[in-house]
Amino acid sequence: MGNLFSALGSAGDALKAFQSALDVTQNNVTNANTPGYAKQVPGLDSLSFQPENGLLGGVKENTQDTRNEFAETAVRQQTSLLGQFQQLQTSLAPLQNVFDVSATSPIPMALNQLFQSFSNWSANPGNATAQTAVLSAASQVSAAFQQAAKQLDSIRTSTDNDIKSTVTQINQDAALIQSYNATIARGSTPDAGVDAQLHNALESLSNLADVQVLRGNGNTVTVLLGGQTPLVIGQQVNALQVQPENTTGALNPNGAPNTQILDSSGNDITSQITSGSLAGLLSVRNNLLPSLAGGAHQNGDLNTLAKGLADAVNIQLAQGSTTSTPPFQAGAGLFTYDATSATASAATLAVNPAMTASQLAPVDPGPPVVSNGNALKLAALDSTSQINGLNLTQYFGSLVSRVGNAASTADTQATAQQGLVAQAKNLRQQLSGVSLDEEAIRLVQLQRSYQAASRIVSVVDQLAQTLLNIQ
Amino acid sequence: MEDGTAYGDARACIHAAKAQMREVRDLLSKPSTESAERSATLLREIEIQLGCAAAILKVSGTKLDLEMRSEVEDLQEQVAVLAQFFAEADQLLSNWLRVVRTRRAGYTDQGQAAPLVLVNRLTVEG
Repeated sequence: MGNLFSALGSAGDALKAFQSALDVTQNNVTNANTPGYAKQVPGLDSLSFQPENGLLGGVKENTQDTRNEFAETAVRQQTSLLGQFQQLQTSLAPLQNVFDVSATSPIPMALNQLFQSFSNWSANPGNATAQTAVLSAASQVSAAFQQAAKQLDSIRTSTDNDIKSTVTQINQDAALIQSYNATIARGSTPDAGVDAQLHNALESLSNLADVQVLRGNGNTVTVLLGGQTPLVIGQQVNALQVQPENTTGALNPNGAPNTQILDSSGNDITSQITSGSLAGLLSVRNNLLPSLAGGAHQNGDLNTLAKGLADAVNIQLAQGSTTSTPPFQAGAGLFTYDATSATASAATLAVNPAMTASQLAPVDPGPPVVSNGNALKLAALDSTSQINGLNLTQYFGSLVSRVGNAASTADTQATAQQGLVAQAKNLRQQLSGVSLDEEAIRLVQLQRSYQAASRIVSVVDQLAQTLLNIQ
Repeated sequence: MEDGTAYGDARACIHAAKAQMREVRDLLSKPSTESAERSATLLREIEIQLGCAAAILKVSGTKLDLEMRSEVEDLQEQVAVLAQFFAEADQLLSNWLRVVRTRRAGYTDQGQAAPLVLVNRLTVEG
């Protein structure tokens, strides 16, 4: 009977192993739609058959997952780029509202009305209504520039908040990954569930920033930001920080400083962040917005346009005269702005509060004296005044074009990138995903094989009985 | 010990069958189609060995001695274990196949797991 019990024991072990293998099927079926889950494949190693030691053989479970790190890396890289392009789409949408080239958008409409009012005034320089219309149009121009500057400032604040919340999210994801690393380090055998959660967190993180993942000791992961800065090393997290840059010695020390990302040691790692939604935000915050609204390192094209317009109009008025006979009286400046800050021209553009309609100078003192000559020159400023080789309308058009091209490129890239992410995920699904069809086929094949063997067992049993019955 | 007689030939057959039975149990510890198919082949060989032993003993009119009877009984016990194994494996597989079928294809009007229709899938890109 000893043999029977040991035989039953061995068969029991085999059944347990068999049950384990089916547990793997259960995990696969249950987690078919779990994000980050990789199909597990049952593998069983035979133990040695040593009857002399009472060991009748057996099995040791050795389940292996089908996760393919190459496919995972490809998905993360493509996801990171998608995050960047989608963020650019989101961030550029409000900028397109500010820089709209249509005739009804505030700046082009106000500029058009101002030059139209100069033109109407030139037809009847002494007409009080025409003079008042010029002041009113000038007021609309300054209001349009102030509004645009305010909108850009609001977008900058909103982008700063988005950067902070994104960095907070990155730090939270890093902490989550660290906790999974701790769980993995404690476990004696790989846990497919923890591994799925870990990879899900890594994919979520890659949407925010470009990360490289290295497998460390005991299957824990090391996460590098931009391939250089360690964000997670085993059970240690190096949290990121957000900080405005030091603008000492910059072109405009009082201009809005760029936003920097610092590592846990306080080193500036902004340039290492080249993809992910954080890269998209930083690109808008540190490149596009300063180029439009100004910052520590540049004046901003909106300010350049506001200053260029105000200077051109004021200079032209100063060259004219309010009277058509000597002594000629130079006109007062129509616009004022804060000349002490190159980045505040648009925000502070206003109509000279001391200006009255009678101080407008329509006369070109010549010689020859032309009673509406200066008003005509003011009306022509739109085409004669140049900024970087472009007239005022063309210059504003170049700003619109820059924002529009950036938005259009982001749209195109995001659309193409969505396809690439889908392709990368499809590849990963083929390599690591659970196919219920495959699981079913595997079960059917196993069942048929066992049933075939089982039928022979009964014949063998009858033969053994025949042997025992021989008298 | 083989003695070259009919009795010795029958003993050799039973020994061979027992060796193959051990191999079957080793194979069945790996739940794969390949191991199950190989097991079936080995079980047919065991069937032949036992058939030969029975024929030799009948033709020669020899009876089983106690030692050989014990070996055959041992073999029969192992066959019983195998039968139990196959029955439980069949039950487990049937249950799981039903789970997979319901997850994949749902239920029939009678509440049974719907049959799977497995077809080759084509992916067209471009």
